[in-house]
Amino acid sequence: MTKMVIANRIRRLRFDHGEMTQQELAVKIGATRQTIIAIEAGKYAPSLELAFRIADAFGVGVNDVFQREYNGAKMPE
Amino acid sequence: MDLEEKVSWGAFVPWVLGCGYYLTALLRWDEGGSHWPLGRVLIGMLLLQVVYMIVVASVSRKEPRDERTRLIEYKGYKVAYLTVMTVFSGWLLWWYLPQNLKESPKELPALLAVWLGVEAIRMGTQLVLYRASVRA
Repeated sequence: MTKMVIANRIRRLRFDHGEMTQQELAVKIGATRQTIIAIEAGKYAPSLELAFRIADAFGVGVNDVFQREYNGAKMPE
Repeated sequence: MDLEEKVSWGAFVPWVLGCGYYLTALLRWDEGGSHWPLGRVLIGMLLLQVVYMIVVASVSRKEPRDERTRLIEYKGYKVAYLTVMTVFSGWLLWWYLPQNLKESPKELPALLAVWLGVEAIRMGTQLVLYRASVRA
């Protein structure tokens, strides 16, 4: 089975939202700053609930925050 | 390093130091060495932990326990459970039982009860969770 990797655009979205800090995002979604760091670095895949909370914090859909990649290539539409 | 990580280190380091000191002292007991009784070592470890926790809590930012924190906690429990049960089962099956089975020692039912009880709790919890809503 091809290995799926969850990529994310959280760092970019934080930058687009007035250079929001990791701590500010963490407080907004009720998580720790360490969790935000781990998600951004691709070291932790959040639950669906946390993923929705992150998306809500930026006012976008989950698909705009997280993308699935297979062996480094994005899933074809 | 976040608060949870600092707290874990604060619990781990005194524990390793205390156990290390006590075990080293026990190993040297035959050579005429002295050691604190286990109770004093435990109290020393607890005091060290309490002082450290107070200092860390007063200087660190309070953060919520989130799903990743809980997941790390569960994984720690899992590794501890697997290690303890593997060592305990190995000791029971390959060392204790072959040497003591013919004599039917008094502590055998208690040892088996601990073994079976732990496994029953694990399986029971898993059976309940298969039907319940689960989250980290």
